Amino acid sequence: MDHVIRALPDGKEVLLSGRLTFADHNNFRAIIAQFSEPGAKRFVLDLSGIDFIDSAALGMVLLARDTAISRGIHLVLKGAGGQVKRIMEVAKFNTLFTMED
Amino acid sequence: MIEAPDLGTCKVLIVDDQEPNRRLLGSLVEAMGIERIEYAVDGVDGLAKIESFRPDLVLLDIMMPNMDGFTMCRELRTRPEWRDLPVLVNTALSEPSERVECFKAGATDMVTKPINGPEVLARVRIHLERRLLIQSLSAYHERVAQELALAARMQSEILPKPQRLEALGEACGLRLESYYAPSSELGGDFWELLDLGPDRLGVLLVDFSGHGVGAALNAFRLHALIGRMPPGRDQAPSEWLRVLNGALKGLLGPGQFATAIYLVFDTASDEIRYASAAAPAPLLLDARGQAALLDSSGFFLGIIAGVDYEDRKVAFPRGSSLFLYSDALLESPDTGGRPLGEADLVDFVGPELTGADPVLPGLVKRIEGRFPPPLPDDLTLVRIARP
Repeated sequence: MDHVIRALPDGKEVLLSGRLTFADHNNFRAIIAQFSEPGAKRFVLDLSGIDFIDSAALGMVLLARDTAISRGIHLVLKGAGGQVKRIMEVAKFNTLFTMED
Repeated sequence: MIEAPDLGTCKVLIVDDQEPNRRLLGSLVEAMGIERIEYAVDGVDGLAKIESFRPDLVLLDIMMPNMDGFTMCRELRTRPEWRDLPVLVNTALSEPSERVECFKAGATDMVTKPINGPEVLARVRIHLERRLLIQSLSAYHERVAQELALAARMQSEILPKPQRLEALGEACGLRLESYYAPSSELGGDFWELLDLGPDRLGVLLVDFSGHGVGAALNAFRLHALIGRMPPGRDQAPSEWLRVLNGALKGLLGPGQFATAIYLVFDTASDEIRYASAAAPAPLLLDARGQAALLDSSGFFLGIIAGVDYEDRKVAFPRGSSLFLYSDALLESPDTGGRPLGEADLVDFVGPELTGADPVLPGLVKRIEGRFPPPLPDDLTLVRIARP
């Protein structure tokens, strides 16, 4: 997985690309750590560049949700497509997250 | 921090045709606190002493009668057991090409004659310490590998045995087949048959997130949990998943969860009632061999307390069969690095599933042909047919 971080007026947007798997957990944890930066209200994970996600990585996204809730941050999942979209539908992520196209 | 190993337990073999050299090297090595020293006078003698004395390091001269040091070293390296034995050549050869020749013959390191005591000592120490560290690491590695293999066997032992599949299936007019292959590490797959009395049979398939010991321990926890809170005969599948979700939510650590599907096969009403927690979509084959992937959406188990699961129902008359699998089937890379994916699942498994019983051996062969074992995750396959 590669990622690029972009500042938003009220938070940050992270563009993820490649395969998101258990192998990325340290990398992903570093991204989640930015939730605690002062002033952040909104965090967008742009998944449009992710072409594969495994179950362990879904767990990381769910952990990000826990962290966001505890810090009062609005976490948005954006642009999921293909296998990523399908697996997130199966796990009912649409009821757990704000999902944007 | 790793402590310096105790070199006093090491054995050193000195191979040299000159008696004064043997004595000099012997007293140097002895001064390091190494007491177990053996001597050989040429390459032939050296090879014999290696087998009988079993040294941890060899100090080897090159120019010797009968068999020289090059030949002895080359011969030694053809024996797998001694491939990694440190061989420290001490030689009067000083031409670069000759030194290269030593390494080509399999020497680990070299010191040039005339013998420089402190240098010999330093090099002997480095190679012995390195050998001891590698030995202790490989002993540790071997012990962990053995324990993981034992854990993998224990994990397959908590799965339903063939006799149980046959007995419970026969009582309900169902024919069951299963297959389980643990991954190279441990994994979190688990499945269970639930005896629900006449004409009804429960099947639960669970896959804990992640790999390794943590996922496997969660499978054991669930096995114990089911023993304490089995489903009732008339309990809706969604209700039992709710119970399991509540129990697992309290047990699992952060980031841990499971996918699951619980199905009740009812041969009196010719249907399957089921509820799913994001399990891979089951494949239903009707009496005409038409395939359909069933809706299996639902919340993961163990993430959010108190969520509801959905009860679903499909017809399951005589001639139908249902195929359940863990996500290793969809997510494992094939020889070209591509996973199968849901879209190609029916085309890939369909031909095998419509054959004569038992169908899983043929399917497993097909899977192994495309996805060379061992797979990165546990693979569980369960097929329930209604003849």
